Amino acid sequence: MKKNAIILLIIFTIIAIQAASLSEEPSNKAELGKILFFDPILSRDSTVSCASCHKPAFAFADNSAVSTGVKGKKGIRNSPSVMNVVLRRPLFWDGRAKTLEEQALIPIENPLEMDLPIKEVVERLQKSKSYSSYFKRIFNEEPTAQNLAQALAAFERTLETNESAFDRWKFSDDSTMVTKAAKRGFVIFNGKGKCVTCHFGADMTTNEFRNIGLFNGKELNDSGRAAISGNINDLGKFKVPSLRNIAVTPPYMHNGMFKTLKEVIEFYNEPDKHIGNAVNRDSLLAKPLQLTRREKKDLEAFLLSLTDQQFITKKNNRR
Amino acid sequence: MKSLIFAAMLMASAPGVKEQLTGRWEPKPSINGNITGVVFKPDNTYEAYINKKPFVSGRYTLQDSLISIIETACDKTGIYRLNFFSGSDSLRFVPVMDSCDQRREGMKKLVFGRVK
Repeated sequence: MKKNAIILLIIFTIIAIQAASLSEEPSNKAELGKILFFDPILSRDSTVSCASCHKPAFAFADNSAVSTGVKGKKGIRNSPSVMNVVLRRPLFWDGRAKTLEEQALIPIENPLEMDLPIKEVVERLQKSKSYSSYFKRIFNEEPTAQNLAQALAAFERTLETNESAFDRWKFSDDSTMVTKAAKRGFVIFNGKGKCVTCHFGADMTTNEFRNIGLFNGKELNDSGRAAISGNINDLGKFKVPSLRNIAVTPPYMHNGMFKTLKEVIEFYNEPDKHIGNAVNRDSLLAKPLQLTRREKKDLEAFLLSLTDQQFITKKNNRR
Repeated sequence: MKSLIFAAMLMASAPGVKEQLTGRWEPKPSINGNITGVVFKPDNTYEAYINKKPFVSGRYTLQDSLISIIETACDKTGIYRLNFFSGSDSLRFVPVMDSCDQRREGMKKLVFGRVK
């Protein structure tokens, strides 16, 4: 009797262990995408993964002005957050990708990033026993460029955040959810600061392209959207980024030239003081905003209120 | 005298409509799976949202079954008739007057369900 009980216990333990190991395997596109996102197998020398430049601790952005790719190569633009991309169209600073699926494959082939032709990536994944079995289970086929893109995009679609102090304030009747400074900052954001003109919507972006004056054809010579559209009027225009979690995604702008939100606010307040010879700058920024010191602080307080709870908790845990 | 009685009737009916309206409303998710919605608060403000992210704040006033709205995205007043049905758990906004074309076109297509 005792023997039987022990045998049964052993069998249950084995089943439990197997079940646990199976549960670590991906059961849908997003879970597979997550594994791929963190796997350097997608880069030429297997040293760089998507997460190398889109770091979870920084809201899936990079904390360097430009990211480092394979063999220490430096990129040319700041890696934007890949959180809150469900409503983003098009993608990249210059809008070169129309869909998340299209976006997902571009850094893999970029020589400054992961530098691996998609054909080779697919061959690698097909040769991998685990990936081959994951793709077959989830897509009913071997890894391909299409299902690789679908998996990565599916994972990115899970990275939505809607638990900031600002969100809680807006949805509740509790006015203490944000500070008084943040509330004053929200008024400035919508009024004197003119921020809302470009940063409007659920993710605080209109998804438009704007030239904020960071192009002068000399030391600032990234032509931005114009290189994609071929339209001279797009010279120096870049996609307006989301402001969700902005406090955890420094440095800022397409080239990562500003290290802090304070610097960003100072720039918008008086663009000419920072870049005097800007070409094609948006007329919205033609005159200084003339924000007072307190208004600048309030605006910053509002931007801080856009940080999702998950980052605030992590930050507190690190202290 | 008649107008006084009418005004009194309006005032009497307004709280009932407000009680019906207050709370969270959502239409069916879009083809892409995005969920829009609106929270009508007792203080005559509302928040419209997408995927639980607020994107438009506004103020509303009620007069019987008519609702007037004005919001951050469009500063022109829109007037809609509230059409509650299915035991007040479903709601349609029937445009009466709204010069914000995008809002009018969006609203008239949607049927909202109360989120309990």
